[in-house]
Amino acid sequence: MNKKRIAAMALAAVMLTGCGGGGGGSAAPAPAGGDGAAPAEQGAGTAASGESVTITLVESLTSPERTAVLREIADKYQADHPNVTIEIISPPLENADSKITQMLMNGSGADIVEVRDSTITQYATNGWIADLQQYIDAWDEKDTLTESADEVIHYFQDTAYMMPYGFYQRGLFYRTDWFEEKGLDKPETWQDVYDAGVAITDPASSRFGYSFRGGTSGYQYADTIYWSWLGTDKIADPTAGYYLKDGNGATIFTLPEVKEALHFYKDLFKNTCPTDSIAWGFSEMVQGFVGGTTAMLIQDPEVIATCSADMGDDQWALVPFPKGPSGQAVFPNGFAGWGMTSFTEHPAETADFLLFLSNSENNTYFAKNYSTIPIHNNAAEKDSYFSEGRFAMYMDMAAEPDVYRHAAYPQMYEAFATYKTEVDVMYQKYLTDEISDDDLLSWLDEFWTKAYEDEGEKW
Amino acid sequence: MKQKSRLRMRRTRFIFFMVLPAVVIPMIFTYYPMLKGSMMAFQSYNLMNVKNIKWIGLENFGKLFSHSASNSFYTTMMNTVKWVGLSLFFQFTCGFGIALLLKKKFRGASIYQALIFFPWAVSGFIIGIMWRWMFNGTSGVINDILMKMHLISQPVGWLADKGTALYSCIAANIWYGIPYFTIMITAALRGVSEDLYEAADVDGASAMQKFTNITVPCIRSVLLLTVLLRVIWIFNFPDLIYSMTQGGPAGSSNIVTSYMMQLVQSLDYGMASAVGVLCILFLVTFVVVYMSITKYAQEEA
Repeated sequence: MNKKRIAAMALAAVMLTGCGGGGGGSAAPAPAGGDGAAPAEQGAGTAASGESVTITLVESLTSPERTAVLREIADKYQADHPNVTIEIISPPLENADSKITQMLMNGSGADIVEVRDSTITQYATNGWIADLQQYIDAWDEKDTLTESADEVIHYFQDTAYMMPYGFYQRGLFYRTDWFEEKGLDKPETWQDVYDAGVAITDPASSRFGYSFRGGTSGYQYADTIYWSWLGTDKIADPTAGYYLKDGNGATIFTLPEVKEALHFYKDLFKNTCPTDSIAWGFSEMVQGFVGGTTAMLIQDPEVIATCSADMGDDQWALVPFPKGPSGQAVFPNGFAGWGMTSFTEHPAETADFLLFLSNSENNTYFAKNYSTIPIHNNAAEKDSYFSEGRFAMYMDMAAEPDVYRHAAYPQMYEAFATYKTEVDVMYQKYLTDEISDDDLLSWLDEFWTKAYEDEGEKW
Repeated sequence: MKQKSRLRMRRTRFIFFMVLPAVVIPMIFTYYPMLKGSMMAFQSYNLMNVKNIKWIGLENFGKLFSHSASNSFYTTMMNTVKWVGLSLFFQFTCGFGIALLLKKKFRGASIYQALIFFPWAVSGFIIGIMWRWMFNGTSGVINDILMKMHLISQPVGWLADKGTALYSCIAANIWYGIPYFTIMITAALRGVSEDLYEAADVDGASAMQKFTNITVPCIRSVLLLTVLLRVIWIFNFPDLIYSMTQGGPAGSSNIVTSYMMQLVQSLDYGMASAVGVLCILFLVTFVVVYMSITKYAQEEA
């Protein structure tokens, strides 16, 4: 009797664990079976023109404003194609990518999905998204695509897995009023950022130099400093910035320049940033700058809107990304775009809408309302927004391609998913003196050397 | 005779069909996914590449207990013990105290009661975000108050310091969990007969004697059960940690379940499932030990 009771309670406890999200299984998705491809809901066969077709688009970087812009473009398309209905699904931002992953694993329910630089490898490796090459070849607007757009289209194994809708490039926001107060010039190099940061930092009046990103994805900021110290000529490929050119998988983390850059990164944190910025993510960084705690911030163009709303026009400016000792300013050309699922029932219609969404007029409109850099080189002609005001800085950077260069962490490696969760902890340990510079660099070197051994050259 | 047995057959069949859903539904929605999920613990199950899923035995567990620099599972386990122990102790004592105070009738008692129960009604993530800004090192209200009270001279980065991050989360968790004990214990106290206290008064018992000899024994089974459930819940409550520190800085405030969430995000479902299996084994062991030590089952029988 007694034992039975204990067993029953234990079983109940197990069930509670399951409910609480602790159970190994409860959070698991449906079993994999994507290749079998359950048919999409729309009905059977290829739709001849005239037959009604529903195209489902699932977005990831959702915001109500952005969904409205997408809806507007979709309505325009529907007006011209009365047989087509476009459905937009907007899962909550926090878990949108895992929602999309589940849909793709199930092999149904989506025709177009939002593909990001951080998800393209996963989607393409698993064969969930289709090659768009034949549709792009037949597209009358393919010639105005920018070079960056072309690069991204063929990001993964030279197959056209996606059509970008824009780029997120970082720039340096700074407090012009504080700089004037101290008689400082506009910061152009990382050294300027450091010197100005030290001059401004005054913990007693809670003023600091720089909005440090110590929380999730902080390593991306360290990377840009390494590359600015090294220059892009030494790296294997702009999309695989951790590997050396002709190095057979040797990484940049053994170079003396990188060690020097790492020391600079730590000094920047210790001497110009609030101590709690070791835990700062996007919102704290922006809040720190807009709220008057920090004088400088490196962020995406979407912050322009926040600054315009919360600060006076004469209080801040946006200038190009700071340069390093190599004379170059190197930063990732973050991208996102649309991909067609490999199981769509209506590939022709889906591709047609996907390219409509990406045509110069719609893309420029989208980019303007969402603060991304457009994918067509005639965007500035279509809308003066891109040649005037705050945004013009990006056009200035584009005009000097030898100085302002792009590089990115090797996101095409499967190991990258593991790296992303482990690397922040390692940097935080280094910044809080728990491990040494050599510990961190050798960990980075070993991790990526092993990734190369396991997966080969993937750029 | 024949008719009787047919009747019994029919009755058995009826009972069988009535019981069936209660057996089948948990099977499908609880035990099947649990088994299926637990199997992932022994596979290299990474969503980065679902075409390459294979059995790897205990490799995932081996990685969890390896001694490499980037492995923080040991710290995570220690943190879990602190997280559960400290949270439970303060939630229980404060909750019990408030429940005893609420036992006395006073004006506005029901309003006060409603206010006490309020945190329980708010989602863990929202609580976490609220506390994260309160603990903010540069613009947080907690620093502001402490500085105005001249308890600290410089703002403290509560969530940014490896020494304070976990304890800040625990403080938030204590605040969040008190109402649970207050609700449960208040209800239990209502069931204790006033006659017992009157009899004790007649015998001249002190307040302390009444507490240890009447109050506690009368609500013992409720206390034991609430503590047991609470341990399981606190253990499975990564929401606060996740929204306050994401386990940082440098993994110093991770507990086992928030660590598992990070593994899920890195798409390594095999590793995440290995952690989940360990959680279940630990909790089942805990429940069995707890129940035999407290003799909970005998008490009830």
